[in-house]
Amino acid sequence: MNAVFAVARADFRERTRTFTLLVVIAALLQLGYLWVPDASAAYSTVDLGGWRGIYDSAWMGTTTAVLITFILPMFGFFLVRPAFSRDARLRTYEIVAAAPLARSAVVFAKWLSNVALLMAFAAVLTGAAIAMQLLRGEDRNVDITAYLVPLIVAGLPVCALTATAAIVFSAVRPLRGIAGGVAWIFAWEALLATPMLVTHGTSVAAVDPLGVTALIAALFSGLHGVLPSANTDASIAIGVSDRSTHVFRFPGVSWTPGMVAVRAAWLAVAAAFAWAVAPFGIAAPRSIAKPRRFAMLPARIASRLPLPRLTRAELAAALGAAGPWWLFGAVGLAVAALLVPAEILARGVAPLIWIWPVGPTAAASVLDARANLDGVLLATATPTWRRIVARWLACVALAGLPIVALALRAGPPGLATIAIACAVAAVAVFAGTLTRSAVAFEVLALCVWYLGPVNRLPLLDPNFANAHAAPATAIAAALVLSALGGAAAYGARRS
Amino acid sequence: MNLLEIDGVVKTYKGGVEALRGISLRLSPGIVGLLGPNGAGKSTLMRIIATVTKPTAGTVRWDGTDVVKDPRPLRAAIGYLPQDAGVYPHLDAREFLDYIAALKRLPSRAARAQIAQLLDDLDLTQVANRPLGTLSGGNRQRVAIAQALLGDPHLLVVDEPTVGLDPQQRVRFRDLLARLARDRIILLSTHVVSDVETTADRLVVVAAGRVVADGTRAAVIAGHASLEAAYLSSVGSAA
Repeated sequence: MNAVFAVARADFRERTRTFTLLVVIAALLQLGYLWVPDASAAYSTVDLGGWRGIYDSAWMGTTTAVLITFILPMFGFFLVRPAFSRDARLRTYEIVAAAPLARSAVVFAKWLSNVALLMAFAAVLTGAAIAMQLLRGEDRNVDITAYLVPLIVAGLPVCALTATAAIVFSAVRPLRGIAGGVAWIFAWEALLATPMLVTHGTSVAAVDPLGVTALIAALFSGLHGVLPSANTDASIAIGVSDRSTHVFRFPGVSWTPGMVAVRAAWLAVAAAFAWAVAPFGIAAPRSIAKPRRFAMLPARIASRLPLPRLTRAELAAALGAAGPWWLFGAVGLAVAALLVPAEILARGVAPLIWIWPVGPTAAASVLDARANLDGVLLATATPTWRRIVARWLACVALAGLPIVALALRAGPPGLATIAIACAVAAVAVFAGTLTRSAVAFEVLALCVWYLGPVNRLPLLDPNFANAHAAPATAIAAALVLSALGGAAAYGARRS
Repeated sequence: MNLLEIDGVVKTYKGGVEALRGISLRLSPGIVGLLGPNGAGKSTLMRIIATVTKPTAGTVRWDGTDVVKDPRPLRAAIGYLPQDAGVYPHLDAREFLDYIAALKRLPSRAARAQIAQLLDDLDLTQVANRPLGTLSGGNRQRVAIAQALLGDPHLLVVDEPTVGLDPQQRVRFRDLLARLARDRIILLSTHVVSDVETTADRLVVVAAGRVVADGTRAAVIAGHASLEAAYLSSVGSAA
């Protein structure tokens, strides 16, 4: 077992000493700040039918646990999932695979490292909550226990379950890519929604692995203890508030042995499942396609396109990595976008068109880093900004065919659709250049896709942008310029 | 005649690790073998010369231009093969080399001719249409060498180029370098003495971030039974 902990510790250290982690921590601190709006803010986060708790430790500790329960399974999953693909990319897979430590032990160590990393993220959110309690100043008495108990009792099982999901999604080959990301988003949605649909009672715990209902019930129980007549119209979301929010003194969650036992049971389930799948968990790097003409088709096609040479080469490399089936899928989506009825286009085909290029685009944005070519490219006569522009054009071209078809269906306002695709590609190039990893863009793109094309959140919905084509195009153009400018400036830096 | 002048180059990494402690060299056309044990600072020096890394102090001049301030003239003249160089695994050799040719701003027609010649020189013609990811390590290394040679560079900086090559290919590579060295500077870094013993016009031994020996093969060997003995003696005295 010592060896397992040693592997887990080394893996944790390796994953926490990255620039990407600093970006994640900054994002978590920002989220922690937004989660505790000022009394005069135009939005609310945890709103219990027009009431919220005074910002004391009991309220802050519990609502931070709610945030952890909602957010970490989503973001955290994508941050810990690349544990094995990173080994393949760094060429340490063979060393790990050849080591005497059993495969299952290595996988379990990765799971422990995943849990530790997710708990570190949860701890950052908790730290931010303590700081916000002091900053908002409604009650400056900090009760550490009120923060730690929800963090451990509610947060730890959530982190463990998320870590297990990441292991499973790494082990099953079809779930490793962007398709797995999409599947997880819907699984996460189901995990949150299912317990809400079940009548309150003991059966809820069995279908609520994340423990959402227990926390929400505790919040309402606290409210009803103070105000028996309060209504039960709960909303937990960041949004514009159109009503004044009253405050009450939340007494805290009474953690009964039953509640703790249920959470402990889910923790045990997560650990047991991780142990059970461990023997199957090492993701061997996929061998490169056999040198058949079919596998080389996308790169061959790209090599013959009338594009600038650099763009053509970048596109060939990106399409080569995406493979022929991905290309056929893109062509199929383009045809579908032109032919299907408007309702099916809006509900089914359009969201697919927006998600389809995310994986290859994320990969294309870090092609040189993945191939260990950045030194060679930086030493060439071509200035960085030209390479950045070529890469961006290649990313635009990756999404091009179905996006153009989508734009054609929209008519003149479809220009905004193309502008958004250009902006998405620019953000991919910026994120890839900055972090040298595809993960940041993948996570961002999946979240935006889920909120915009799937759930029609106006500001992130391309249909909404089409309805406001001129400002949307202008914003997209500004985003393209700033993202490419940032990428070129950062990419030209020498160590 | 091109001239590369390295003057008092120091590189200190974050955390205070001193990789280079004041290296000065003047390189003119010919093969310069850069020898040194692992961790001596060879790769750091190569990266600085290739303008990929900035020195903490000191200057690197290419034909009089300070390349730390303005890397463009050197980047237009260099062929660089870093240690553990990668390739795009889903492109074939021709496509990959065409990509590098575009980065080096070679005209398409000239690039095609050069690529064909290099594939032939490096015995890659038979595998030129296969995805690079399916090639053996030796073949991939030869493609990486080919990318460095593209554009007929006036300065060729190659870091451990023979890693993964079989003995026959090593000899062939040395012959190729000897042929190329007539009118350009070739800086070949290695810790394998035999790689430079017969081909290098000049040998520079680096240890612990400093130059501990510099001269012709005969000058470096002087007083020792072999180059290997001279090398070990230089490195040992620096430790």
